[in-house]
Amino acid sequence: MKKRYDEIELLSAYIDGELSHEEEKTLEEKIALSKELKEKLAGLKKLKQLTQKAYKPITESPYFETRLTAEINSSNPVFVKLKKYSPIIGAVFGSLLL
Amino acid sequence: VSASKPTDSNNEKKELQFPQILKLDDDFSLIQRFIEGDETCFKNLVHRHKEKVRNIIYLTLSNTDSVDDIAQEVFITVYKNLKSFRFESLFTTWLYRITINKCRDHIRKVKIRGIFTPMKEDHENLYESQTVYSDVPEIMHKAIKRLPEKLRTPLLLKDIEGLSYQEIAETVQCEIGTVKSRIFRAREGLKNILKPLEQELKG
Repeated sequence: MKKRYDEIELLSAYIDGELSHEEEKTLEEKIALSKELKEKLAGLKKLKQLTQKAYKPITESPYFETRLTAEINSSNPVFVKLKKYSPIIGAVFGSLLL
Repeated sequence: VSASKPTDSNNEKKELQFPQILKLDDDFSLIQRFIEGDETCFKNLVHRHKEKVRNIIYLTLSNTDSVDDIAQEVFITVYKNLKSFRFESLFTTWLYRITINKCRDHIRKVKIRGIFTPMKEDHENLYESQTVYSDVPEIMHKAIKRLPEKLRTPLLLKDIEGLSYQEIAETVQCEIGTVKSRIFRAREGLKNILKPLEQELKG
């Protein structure tokens, strides 16, 4: 029973292309001799295909980067300090222009 | 009859080898330039990886509700810690790990909030519900959503994002053997959930 469970776990890794060459070869020999393993393999492949169809890529978020930049700037200590002193800076620049 | 070869990552790995090296080099050099004071490099990193991050959040949560908010948190964390990046692993491994951790924080918060709000009569039970599902992707989506997060995330990172077991292990911070076992258990769980719906899936 445990052996069968391990073989099916190997089948799962097999369809993911995650077995070593040696493991792959040994498993393929077992599959060739077992109707049950062939059926399990077909079932797992079908399930993987169905899983791949379950999620469509989400739509792009056009303002994502703008929002992120604003968030970062507002939490950036230099920016916060500049914001705090902005009336003074403004007044200095204003007087220089005049 | 010999079993057909898996079509998945082995062949793709060979084809992707060259571009992956380029990508790795690009991420590292952008980070290096950011550390040296070039803030625009962070924007390039965000631009390059934001869609993948948003997609991983979507897959982990199985809904689109908070995707952008969590993605913002991810990149703010990256921004704050990028100067201490150690160049010991791929930038994406680090980025996806932050992403998964933020998703888990979110799931925890939602659960805690759920304790204090009245239960909704949400019959997500696929086969007992009266809803007729004609759309196979919809059936699958709902079935996957019923898996526990620790099984669902590795499964989707493999089947949809195409990450290797090694990459998934580094992302969710566990052993490769655990990833292998969780993906297997996720598939077994899915089979059980879908058993009463075999006819719909065939159609």
